[in-house]
Amino acid sequence: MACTEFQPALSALVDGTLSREGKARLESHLEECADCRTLLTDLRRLRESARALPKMTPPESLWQKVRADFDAEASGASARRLSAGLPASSAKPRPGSVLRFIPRRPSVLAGLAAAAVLVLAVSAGIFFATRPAVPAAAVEPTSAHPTPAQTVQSVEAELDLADQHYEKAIAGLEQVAKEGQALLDPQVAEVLQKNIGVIDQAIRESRTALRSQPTSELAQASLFDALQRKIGLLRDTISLINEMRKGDQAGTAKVVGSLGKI
Amino acid sequence: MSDIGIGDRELATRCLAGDREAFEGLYRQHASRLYNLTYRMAGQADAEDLLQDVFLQAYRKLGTYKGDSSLGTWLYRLTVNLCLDHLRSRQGKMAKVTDSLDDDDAAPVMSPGRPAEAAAARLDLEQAIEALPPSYRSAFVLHDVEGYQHDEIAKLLGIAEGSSKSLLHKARLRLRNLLQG
Ligand SMILES: [Zn+2]
Repeated sequence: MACTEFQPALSALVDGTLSREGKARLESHLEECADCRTLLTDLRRLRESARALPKMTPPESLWQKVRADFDAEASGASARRLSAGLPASSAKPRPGSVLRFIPRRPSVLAGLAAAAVLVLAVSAGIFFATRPAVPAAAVEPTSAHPTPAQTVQSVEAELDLADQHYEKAIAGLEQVAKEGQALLDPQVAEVLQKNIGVIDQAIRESRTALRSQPTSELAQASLFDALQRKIGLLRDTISLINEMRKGDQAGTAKVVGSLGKI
Repeated sequence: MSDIGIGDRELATRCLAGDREAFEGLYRQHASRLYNLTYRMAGQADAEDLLQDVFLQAYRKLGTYKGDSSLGTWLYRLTVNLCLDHLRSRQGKMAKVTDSLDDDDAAPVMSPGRPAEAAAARLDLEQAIEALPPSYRSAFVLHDVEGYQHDEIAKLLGIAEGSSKSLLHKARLRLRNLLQG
């Protein structure tokens, strides 16, 4: 079993949210793995340090500023009430509060879509034994400044496009995985199915979140994170099938070890 | 997150009517808690400006406060959003959408045998937190510093609960690497 498989469980152990079975499995790994023990110690220490960060108190001068803002706003508001129709607001917009809904960078989304297509292209080559990562370079770093003309709608369209490309990549991988399914140990297949189910749930939740907040970058990142995890798992499945085809015991064990990693 | 204060809706109404005493009450009651959040999310340099903005925006938006959550929760949510906006506008374009998709984070490198120094100074942790991309930082600050649970963080950030867990774990690994130098 690969250590990376246990890493998220280490965080969960630190937080006390690990299931009993998960804990038992992790503990038996910890007995034989010094690296993971070290990581666990570090994670605990980090959490303690974070909790021990001192509470900060705003300086009294801040209230003076907030009060000045309030007075300006309130007098502006009463002026508006008195002379409806006149542009009475004395408040000037402050940096950071103006650009609430900047259009996202469509070229970045297009880059993500390109990455997904690349995954599909690579998978179409099938029978790759190693696991190619989605190259970060495929995401175009020369994203242009969004122009005012780029509306939320156009961002949503780009997002949909990226999503569709992912879905296409996933469909391609699923097809390949399905064809080789019979070669898999039924227990392994069951675990895979379960993991896919968990990821599908995350994808659904992310889509729901994104529908209510289409411009939330966190929701976007969360969706693409889930889609990528699914692609990763399918890729691992296919590479496992390939190992089974080749009858490579050592390789199979290696791939099985990384399968739980969702 | 706390229950709805009995006087929250009334307090909001008084603030909107231009009652400065009421607004000061609102400030005194919530400023420290919100300042901690802006301080940890945006760093010392911007914490005050951000909090000032929070109360300005709060006043402007109080009309939309319907009393279905406490004013404390409402203000906290507003502060989280302003912090995120601030971090994003400050940050380079690239890392935004992709910051949780980095491959090196998906498979973090184990550096065996070298525990983070016990004396990893507080200042180092504060600096390291400031070096995190917005999504990692939000998850870490809200969970490990502020003490929120993943389901609450998911709601605050508009993400799935599993993503909150995953972001937190990645944030911790990144911090560990940063602290190890
Ligand atoms: Zn290990």
